[in-house]
Amino acid sequence: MTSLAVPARSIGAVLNNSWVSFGLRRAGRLVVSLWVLVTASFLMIHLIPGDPVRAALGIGAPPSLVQARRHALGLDQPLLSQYLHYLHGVLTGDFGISMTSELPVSEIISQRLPATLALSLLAFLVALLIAVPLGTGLGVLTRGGRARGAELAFTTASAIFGAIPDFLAGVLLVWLFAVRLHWFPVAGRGGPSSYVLPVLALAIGPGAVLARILRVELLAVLQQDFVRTARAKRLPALAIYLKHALPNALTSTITLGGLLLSVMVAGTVLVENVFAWPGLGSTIVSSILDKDYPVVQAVVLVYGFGVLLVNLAVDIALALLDPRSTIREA
Amino acid sequence: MGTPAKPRWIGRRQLGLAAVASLTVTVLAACGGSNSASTKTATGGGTFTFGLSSDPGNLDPQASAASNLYQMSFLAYDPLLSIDNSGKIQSQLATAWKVSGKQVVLTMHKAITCSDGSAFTATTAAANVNYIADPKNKSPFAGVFIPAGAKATGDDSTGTVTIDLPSAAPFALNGLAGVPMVCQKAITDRSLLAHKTDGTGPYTLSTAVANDHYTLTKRTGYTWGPNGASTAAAGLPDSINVRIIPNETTAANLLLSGQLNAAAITGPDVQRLQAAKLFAAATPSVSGEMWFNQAAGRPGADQQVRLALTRALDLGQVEKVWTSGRGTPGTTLAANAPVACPGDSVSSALPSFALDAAKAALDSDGWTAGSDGIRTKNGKPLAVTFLYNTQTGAAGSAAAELAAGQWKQLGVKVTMKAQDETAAVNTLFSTGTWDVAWEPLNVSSPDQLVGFMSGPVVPAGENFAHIKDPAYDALVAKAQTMQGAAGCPQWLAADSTLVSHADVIPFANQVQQVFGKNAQFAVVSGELQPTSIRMGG
Amino acid sequence: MSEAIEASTTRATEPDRLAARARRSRWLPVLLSPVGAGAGIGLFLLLILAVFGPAVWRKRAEQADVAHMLQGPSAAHWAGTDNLGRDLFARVMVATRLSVELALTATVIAVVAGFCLGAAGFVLGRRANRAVAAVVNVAVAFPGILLALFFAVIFGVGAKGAVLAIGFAGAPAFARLTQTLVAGVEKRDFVAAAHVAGIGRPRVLLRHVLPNIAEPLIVNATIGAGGAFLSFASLSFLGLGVQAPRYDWGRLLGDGLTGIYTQPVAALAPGIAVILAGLAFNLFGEALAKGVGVTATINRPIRGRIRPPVGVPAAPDRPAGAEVTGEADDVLSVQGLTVSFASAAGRVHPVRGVDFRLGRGEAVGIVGESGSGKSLTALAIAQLIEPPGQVRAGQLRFLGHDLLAEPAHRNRRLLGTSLALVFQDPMTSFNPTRRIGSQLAEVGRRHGGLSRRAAAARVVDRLRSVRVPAAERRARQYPHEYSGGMRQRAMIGMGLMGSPALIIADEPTTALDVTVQRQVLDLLQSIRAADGVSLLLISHDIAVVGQVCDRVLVMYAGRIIEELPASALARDSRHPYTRALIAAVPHMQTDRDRPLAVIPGRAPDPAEVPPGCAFAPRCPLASEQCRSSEPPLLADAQGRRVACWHADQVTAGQAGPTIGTPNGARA
Repeated sequence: MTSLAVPARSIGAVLNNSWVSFGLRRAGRLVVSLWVLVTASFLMIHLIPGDPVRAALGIGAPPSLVQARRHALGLDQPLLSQYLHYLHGVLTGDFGISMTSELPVSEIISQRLPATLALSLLAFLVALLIAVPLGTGLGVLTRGGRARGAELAFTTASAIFGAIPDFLAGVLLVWLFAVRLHWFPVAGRGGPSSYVLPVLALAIGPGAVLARILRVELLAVLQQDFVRTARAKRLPALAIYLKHALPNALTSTITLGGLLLSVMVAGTVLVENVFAWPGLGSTIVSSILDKDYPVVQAVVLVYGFGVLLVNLAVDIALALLDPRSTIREA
Repeated sequence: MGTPAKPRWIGRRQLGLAAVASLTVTVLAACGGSNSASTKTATGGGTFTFGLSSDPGNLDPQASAASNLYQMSFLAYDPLLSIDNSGKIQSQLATAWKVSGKQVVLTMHKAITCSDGSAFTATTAAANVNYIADPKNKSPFAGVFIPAGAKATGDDSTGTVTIDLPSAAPFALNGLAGVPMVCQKAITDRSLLAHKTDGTGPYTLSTAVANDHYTLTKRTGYTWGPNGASTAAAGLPDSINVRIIPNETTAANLLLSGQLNAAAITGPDVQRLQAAKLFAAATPSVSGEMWFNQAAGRPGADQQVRLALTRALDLGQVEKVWTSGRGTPGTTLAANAPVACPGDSVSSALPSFALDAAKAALDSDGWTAGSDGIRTKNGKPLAVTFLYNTQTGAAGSAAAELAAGQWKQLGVKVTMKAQDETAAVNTLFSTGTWDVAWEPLNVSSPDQLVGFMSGPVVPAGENFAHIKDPAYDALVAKAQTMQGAAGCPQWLAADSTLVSHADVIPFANQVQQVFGKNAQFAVVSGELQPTSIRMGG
Repeated sequence: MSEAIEASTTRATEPDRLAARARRSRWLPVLLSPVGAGAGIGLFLLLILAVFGPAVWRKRAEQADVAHMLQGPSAAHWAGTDNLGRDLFARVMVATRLSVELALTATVIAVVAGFCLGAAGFVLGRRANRAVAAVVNVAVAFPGILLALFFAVIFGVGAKGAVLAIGFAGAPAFARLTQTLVAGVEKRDFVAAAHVAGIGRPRVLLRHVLPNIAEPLIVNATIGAGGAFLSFASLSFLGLGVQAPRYDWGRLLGDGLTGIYTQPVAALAPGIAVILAGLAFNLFGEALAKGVGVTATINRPIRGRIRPPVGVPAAPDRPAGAEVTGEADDVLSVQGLTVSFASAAGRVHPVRGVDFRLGRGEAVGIVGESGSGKSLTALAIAQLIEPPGQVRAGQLRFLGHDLLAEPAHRNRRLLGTSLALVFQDPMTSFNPTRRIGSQLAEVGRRHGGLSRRAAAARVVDRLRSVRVPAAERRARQYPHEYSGGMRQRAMIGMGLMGSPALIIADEPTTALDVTVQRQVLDLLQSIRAADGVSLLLISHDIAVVGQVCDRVLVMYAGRIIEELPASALARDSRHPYTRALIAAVPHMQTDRDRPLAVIPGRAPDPAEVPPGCAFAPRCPLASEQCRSSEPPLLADAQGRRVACWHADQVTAGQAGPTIGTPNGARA
């Protein structure tokens, strides 16, 4: 489920001027969320019906081997001690051993994480670079009901782009620009030119959605009284849009930007598959299909943690940007 | 479909095939589009980039016979003997060989060095064989390439290895040609092999990034390749970069753009690559093979049911759909080159397509159709769990739908179950919840089949279909007394027996192609021979 | 007893129910907007296809023809054939039903599960609410596809597993939405009343809260359904979706993608279907969201191109004598000012021909009811009317400059420094994200050419001059840290950054309480006194205008209907409307036992101005002449103007039959 119309902040506590208390509260929330995340990823293996070890080892696995592996994974211990052991492992950076490659999972993650990070961060930046100028420009162009044709065209085009699944976009991009035109490499992570197609595939959909939302936000902001004041001050149009309107439109855009980064991260799962990108996305799919649960657990943790960090960053950015921001209680 | 890779070959955990030696290559097109191959220029050096469809995992060559690991092992390790595509045994680590009864004596090449600098001696070779033959070590090669219970001794002074087999093995040398040898240090400390290589092969692993790429660099002074091939030959790449590319279409694209030098492609992209006139090295193999679960209580235990299910299918049509028109009907059960016993043991023995006869047979067998069309006997409905491998992608599911449709007409309740390689192997070899399975088994010599077609059932043995066919057993017993190819008539007759009894129905062969760009190479039994690579062209 | 209480609390939601009904009637405009109509049609077609598609195409879809497998598009097979030679177009059509079913089922699961999860906090109390919120926050943070993969592994591959996976993966977002909505509704009075009445929480949730949050839930569910199509396609691409022999678009797409380079149409056909279906749901949901929030405004432009400006209509020909004679050093000289907008009802003119002048140091007030056009007049003069509104005037001069002749940017400096504006709502008139000081400094830097330091110094100086205490500290604060009165003073200070010749104040004290009102008005007076600044004060409060201004213009239905000195207001007004306005102001001697005086009736809507005098329907002196022809604004010897056929009947000192005067004691 992609775009969701989240209502603006509806309740707020009294603004507590102290950044320390803000920081503490946020940090506390982060820790709690992390704990929930770790517990969920721990429970994952136990929710799966059947025997995960046997499913992974398959044949050539006489009962003794299965037993040995279960013992190695600690699955023959009582649940609580497994949990504590898992917590300890997470805190010390030990995520176990992969069942298929027998490499330490932390090594797999540290090898593949940079590729996914690079891809999703770049895609996020590109999405912003597409969306902010486009949304702002279109907002200015279509304010007050002007340029209805342009508005319709933009709404339709951005809706279409937003509706194309990213793996389909990736395949089409490869077909057109790599296979047919030979402008870019077909797959793999190499020099800068190898980033272009995967980043585009990831960024186009969310960028289009963000541009639409930004335009609507900007239109709403342009209706506000302070814009009229700015016009009364006879500031040049550019100053009005960039210094007065845009910062006010950005607050909800940032919230959505955070959401989009999550969507982007999700997109890496599919796009990496199309482009043979050596990141976490392709790892998690192959691990799920191979039933390599230690890897799946760890990747889920990493993704979850990353998204929590993004949320935190969004909250901080919002607090910085909007001086009125009221900090919500839970 | 996520990974429409080539059909894998199963055995114990994706058994590869009896490979080894010699250069026989089907050159379909010269690179560069010229119609004459005579003016090939071999520009050696550089890096040869090779695409594999999945990560090999633990790199110990003797711990698993997964096909991707098997391929990589041949880059860094050597077998004792090699075999060319016509079946002729040639030298590799051993320069001379003699088989007498239950004993095999090999004379080792002098001055073989390992990548870690140590020498590979006769005792090392013997230690390898003993390690594999020891059931304690659970090597998948035991009982297939090297008979279980074989004992080897090495004499370093004479440089000979003597292997005593528990019983006569007709294709023992073929078997030895399929087993990569590891160096002394690693025999005892297997952990050395998990992420590194320690072998005698022409290349050695220098960098490993799991699930991404492995880089191997050429070793100098290597002279014990198949039939004496060495790394000094012109045209050999300085390094080999093995890239893991699960998506076959991506691999095809990379081939076309030159970012890959070689990859095995079997899906719809074959057309594009052929149209681009890429070099291709081909291996015939079994692609579609139907098995019936003959465990007690299963409908497949009844031969009439098996025959009826087989006769309800127009296998020619099924084959066409399964291979998207690129395949051929089945020929032998052991179809990998080098085919030890060439011939056609299948087509004459195949039960013919006759839906009405199948219905009649079931009627007389006591399976009467109910009001919903499903046949029942003694209150039990004729329900079949139909397992097929998803590796063939859309073509596979289409063929499966075709078959399921035919069986529905027969009055059978079909539950279709599509599973990927891992899950299919798990079902066949562990959980056993299947009745009909489409899973290809590829070996090159018929004696490698015996464990699958008879003997102890899983999990103790390899007989996952619970086949108990006395006629087959008798013919096999006879064939095993004969040496090598002399027993082929019996082996082929044994094949035919299995087919006519509907124990196993190979319905499609397909040529597996390894395509190449800006390089040429030889593929023996589906494995790319590193010493055969010639860059450029 | 509790029944009665519950009944009364239910009644307490009646207004909301009516509002809901009113909202529902707003869904109709949604269907008429281009996007809404297009998406609505798309959805309708989709549903038709889902219901009837299999009946029409199933036979073709199942017909295997192996000899013609994997062919490209042709006359016989519009999208080509698949691996069994079956017609792909037919298969795409037939797959509609399963795809739609699956997507809708997954959405329903997501909404219901999300609602239950989100509402669980409400039902279970504060602590549980926090715990649920924490869990939901983490779950929402998860990329949907990961959750779906996770659930797919648990529930197994295939349609059932995929539906559950996508359903539960979408639940957290709806849980978060529910929580937010419930939190918003929770504070409302009727919920508190229900709690007090002892109605159990679950009941409150279902009967009181749910109806009020259903709308946004439905809108988001529609958008979510659009996303579900994409999710199914993604799962099938990975091989985890619908399995053979059943097929949905996702599976067809996944199969087709393997051969996309040889047979692109095999993938494009289902891909386009997925995209279109997703689009239809998305766009419809968004149109709903917009429609449910939109209110009809006069500003809604007519469809099609914006028509070229039309000439000044409707205002009657003015007799020459009524021309405003401007003097050379007038600050402001306005003639024939008209403001028009396009609306659904055609072109309307909220301001119809306004003339007046404003001299140096003068204070003129414009007074009138809402809808009289007074604010628009001020905005028009200040050149702040944006298209689609249009301003036309015979003459509009400010400090001698013809504002209409020259394009906007030429006048920028002039207007930026010599004209100060004070708006009604100080709360919203400042940019909340910038400090007051920088907003004031902008004027100085932009138009005064001041350096940053000089501008900052001037800011502090101006703030002091408008009596903002601790000006240096205050300059660094944000608008929300100021009180209302202080904000308004800061607004005035902003106007004083230049050296204004004219301050236009549009209802500057309406949003303030009385004591603060006094301060602001005093400030304006003192500025006038100190610098000789002219003032144009707009207000509906005739008492305020009377106190502050020298001259008063009374506007009604877009026209000036009387102009008189402020001193004459109390007793000397000549227009019935003005007199009624004066009479309606309560004073200390007003009899508290009688109802307050009002002017019965309502001012006409600008779109429905009657021919003749606009006040006629409410005027006690109205005659046939009044109703048929509009009285011109005529000046008398003293320069006072009035537009009334019966102005002479209402002479000074005579208490005419004004309506609703309490006790007429004043005259």
